[in-house]
Amino acid sequence: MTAYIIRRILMTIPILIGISIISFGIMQFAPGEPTALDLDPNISPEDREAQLEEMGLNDPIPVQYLRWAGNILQGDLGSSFITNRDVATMITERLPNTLVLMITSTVMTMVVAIPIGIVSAIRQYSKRDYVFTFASFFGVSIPNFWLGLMLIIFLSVQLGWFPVGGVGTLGGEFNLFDRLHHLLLPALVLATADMAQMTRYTRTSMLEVKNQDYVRTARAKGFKEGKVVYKHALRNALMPLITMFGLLLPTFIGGSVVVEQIFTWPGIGQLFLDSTFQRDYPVIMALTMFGAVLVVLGNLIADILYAVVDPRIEY
Amino acid sequence: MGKKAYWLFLSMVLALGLVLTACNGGGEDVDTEGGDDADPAGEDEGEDAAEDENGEAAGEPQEGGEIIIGQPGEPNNLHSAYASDTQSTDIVRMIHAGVLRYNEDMEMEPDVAAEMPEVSEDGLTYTIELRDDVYFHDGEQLTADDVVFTYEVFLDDDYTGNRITQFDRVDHIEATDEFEVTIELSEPDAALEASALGFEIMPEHILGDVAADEQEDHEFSTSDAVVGAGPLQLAEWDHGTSLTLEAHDEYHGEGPYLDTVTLRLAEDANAILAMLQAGEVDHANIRPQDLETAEAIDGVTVVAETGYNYNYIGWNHDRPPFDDPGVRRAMTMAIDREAIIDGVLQGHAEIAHFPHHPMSWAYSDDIEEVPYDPEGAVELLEEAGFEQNEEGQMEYEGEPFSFELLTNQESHARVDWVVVVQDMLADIGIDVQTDTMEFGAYLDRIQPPNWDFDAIAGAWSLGIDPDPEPLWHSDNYEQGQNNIHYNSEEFDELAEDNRSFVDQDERAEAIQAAYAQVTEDQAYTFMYYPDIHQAHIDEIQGFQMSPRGDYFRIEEWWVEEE
Repeated sequence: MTAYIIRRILMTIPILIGISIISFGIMQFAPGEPTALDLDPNISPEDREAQLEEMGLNDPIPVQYLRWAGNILQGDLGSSFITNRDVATMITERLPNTLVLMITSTVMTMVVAIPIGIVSAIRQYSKRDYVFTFASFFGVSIPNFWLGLMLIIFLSVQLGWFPVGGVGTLGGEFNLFDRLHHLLLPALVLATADMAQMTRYTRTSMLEVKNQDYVRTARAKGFKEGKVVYKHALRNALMPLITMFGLLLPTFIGGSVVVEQIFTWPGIGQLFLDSTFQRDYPVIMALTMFGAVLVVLGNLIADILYAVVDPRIEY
Repeated sequence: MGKKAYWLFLSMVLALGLVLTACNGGGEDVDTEGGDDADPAGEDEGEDAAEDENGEAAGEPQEGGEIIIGQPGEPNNLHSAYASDTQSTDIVRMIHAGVLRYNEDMEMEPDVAAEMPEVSEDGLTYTIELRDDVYFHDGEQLTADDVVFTYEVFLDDDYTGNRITQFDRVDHIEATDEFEVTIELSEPDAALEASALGFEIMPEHILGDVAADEQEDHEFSTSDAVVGAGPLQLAEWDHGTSLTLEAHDEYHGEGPYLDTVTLRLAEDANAILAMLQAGEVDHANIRPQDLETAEAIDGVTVVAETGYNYNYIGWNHDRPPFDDPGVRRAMTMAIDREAIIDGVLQGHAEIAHFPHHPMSWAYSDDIEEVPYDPEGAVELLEEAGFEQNEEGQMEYEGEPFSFELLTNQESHARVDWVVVVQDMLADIGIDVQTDTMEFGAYLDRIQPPNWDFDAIAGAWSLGIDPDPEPLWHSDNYEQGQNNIHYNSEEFDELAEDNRSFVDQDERAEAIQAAYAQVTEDQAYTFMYYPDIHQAHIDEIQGFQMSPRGDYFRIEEWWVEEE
């Protein structure tokens, strides 16, 4: 197992290098450059050149890439073109906010989706199943920016039950309830679509397993229904769900770009958006690589979980 | 997890949610419902409200209190020589103080200076007396050395910021006394006061040993380590969340009355509006499309001011037929700007005929106003060689004439009105394709070295100094901002070296003549000066607003305690 994990981690290195080259290239293709956005009618061409020189943008792109890669290997993510702050600091001060949001919404998704999926599958074509099916199609179809805005308008602005945005009340001491209060709406919005999707997957997966021979055998042996469902059926039904989970992990970053913007949640999604509009190359690259690592990691975790769930799988 | 355990957990989560909401029910800090309902804020709008607000004398200012401002983005730099975006400069102006500052009429007045600089007759020597009661936030006194230090950053060869041209006529700067600075110029520069002397003074005792190009990334410029002589000091900068500013007790001017000003960062304008509605912020900039919503909030006043900027359509003079002044004039005549202001901007703008702002001393009423006259436009086009074919299309050189009007997607108003322009020009048989692009991509297309556009819908923020050269002089085509390639010898001659006039009246005459030339040539179609709006809760008194839409004279704002 350990050998397998090490092998897998080593395999990610060429993948990440490939991703970094492609993203670096694509980023350069985007029209506009960092200095162009800094409009000042009085700046002279010489100064503009000096600024480009300082940012290292006058060099050929492969040279820029190698310099960037060299710095990354030494653990230096560089500093932002726009704010001149250390990129690693900019990310670490925002990362906890995004992680809290992601983890909460993942837990919400799992806690809600898997049981509902199971109930739907066991009681297939029951009233409950129809209600859940309807609800999950509803959930999948709602765009999260719209849902977010509606929740803000009704629950925050009109009823005043929730804060409009932010991670906590300004200026206050750290307060867990206050934090949870701020967290609930954005996490819910982020979880909605995934919840619905996961419910459907769980249901399908359970339905497939439900009529397998070994489930019938288990019943025939006289096991209690609960044991049959959870011990025999669910464990096998979980396999495709783990794959799904591995794929979902990186989408939380994508989803959080929108949700963080709406709920003024100071996480890395917001940073991503800003840096893209401002062509802040060092920040864009750092975040892209972060996303790439997350994808690779998500898949690795999924593979390891397979072994945990299915004893037949050995690495 | 067993099924029962799960449902138990779920109900606990739900119960927790209910408890949380119950706790919050009456606990909001700022209560928007508190205001009296008799006078809906929606009635306060337009210039009248601004006058009322600015001129009001509702009791003596009270010390104390705090406000939260919805701030649309994080400042990038707090060093006056390196801050260039408005989010940064707005905050720099609160933290730092300059030798001069602009007042509500957009004229310069003394700030750290004791009086306006004394200018020698040849216009080459500026002597500035400083006040002797100006202190930085850390208690150090501001002296002539700080002023010399700050200005020399701009003159330093290693300086990598944006504004060297403002100091390019400065020969040398010297502290001639503890509180006296003398600036020697190589040639007269009438723009010096409005541009160079407006820069805020940085403390030499902190940055004196830091190289000019390192000051940009210094913690002074990028964190709450900043120290200035302005009315407010930065107590805490929670990156991505908020900036907390506190009163500078030894401030040399009026105020500050507020104890604390918190800038709550929210990039999404919808979010700021929602916060204003929910009473989570006390002051915010309001976009034109949100005006009605903001005015409908109880206990909130919306103040309007004509913005110090204008919207325009820029024609690419390198692409026929837009090289022909007659064609450009015809375009202006075919566009009903009044209708656009009424229809798209709900009347919250003023038609622009002049290439600068009506508040500027360089403004002149005596300028030709190009009227809305579609028939006249058709005549002009026919004179320029256009022909109307049987289907009513305008043909140029035997082909139906068509061009692309480009704008950036960030401005709702422009995205809306380019379509109206398309419609209006279709009425005289001209086919317009509109295209909107993300700002960075848009700039890439319209600026050197691409110049890839027929016409652009854009906007310029105006400087206080009305120098017309940067935008219109033919020398500024290759690298400067004259990307439409306006190339007029008459203009170049009129505007050239207007900065050398020592006498302001003479200079105004030269600038007005140059601007009259721009108008006659219709280098742009000048569209309008948009109103800008700020909303604040009624408790904020002494509120002032400048055409810049910044936090103007925030030190004089105060909060009325019940």
